[in-house]
Amino acid sequence: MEKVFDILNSIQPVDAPDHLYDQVMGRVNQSRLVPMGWIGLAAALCFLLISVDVYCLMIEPFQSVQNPAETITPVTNNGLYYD
Amino acid sequence: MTFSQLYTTHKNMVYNLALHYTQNVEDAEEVTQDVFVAAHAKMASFRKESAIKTWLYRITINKSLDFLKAKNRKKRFSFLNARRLDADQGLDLPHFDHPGVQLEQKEATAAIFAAINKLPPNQKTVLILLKIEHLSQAEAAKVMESSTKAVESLFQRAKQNLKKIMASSEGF
Repeated sequence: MEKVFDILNSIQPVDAPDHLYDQVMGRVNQSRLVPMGWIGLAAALCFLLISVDVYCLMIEPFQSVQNPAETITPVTNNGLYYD
Repeated sequence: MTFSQLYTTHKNMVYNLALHYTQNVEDAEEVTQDVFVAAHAKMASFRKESAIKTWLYRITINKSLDFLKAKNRKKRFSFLNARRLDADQGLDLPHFDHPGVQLEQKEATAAIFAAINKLPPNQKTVLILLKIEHLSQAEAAKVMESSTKAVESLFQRAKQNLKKIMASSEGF
């Protein structure tokens, strides 16, 4: 086992390559942008909202109520006037 | 301390520690980048409860172990996707390319690392910290967030397991 540790002991430290700093800073700057996941989620929500709007427009529109009173007391004859 | 100063002061320590875990230059470069990107993100929240060096040691160890786990997972899936399995084919052995190893010791060192790679992560870590990084037991205990006695006990277990693994493999 001592021989094993002597071999491990002989491993020399090396210098980190110079280009690593640029690569690190590139990744740091990239991580500052909005993550793609968030962009996808926002796009999906927009699509959902637009789809719901289109659906609401496509279904049969409500009949417009011109005289609200008619809907409450619909008068189909004038029988009261002849009683 | 600015990030640039942090990088310049500790880049070699991080790179060499990553090399001891990954044993090749490409993987060590990737791990080093992971470490400093994480350090940059966490710098603001670093509470200075430990020295910066100890903090970076911990990040490097965690990132190295995560990298190796992910690499092993990829290997397993590529094995499942293989169209044809020949008898001589098997999983790729880690590519040993440690620039700190002298040429005449390369084969012996590669065999030792092959055995170290079979140890559990904490035993592998304690061997690397004590026998390659030459930390004291007290320093290793701070890095591993453990006690000196626990580190000593872990080291003894690692030594015994390493002996068994090397005895069962050819050449030792």
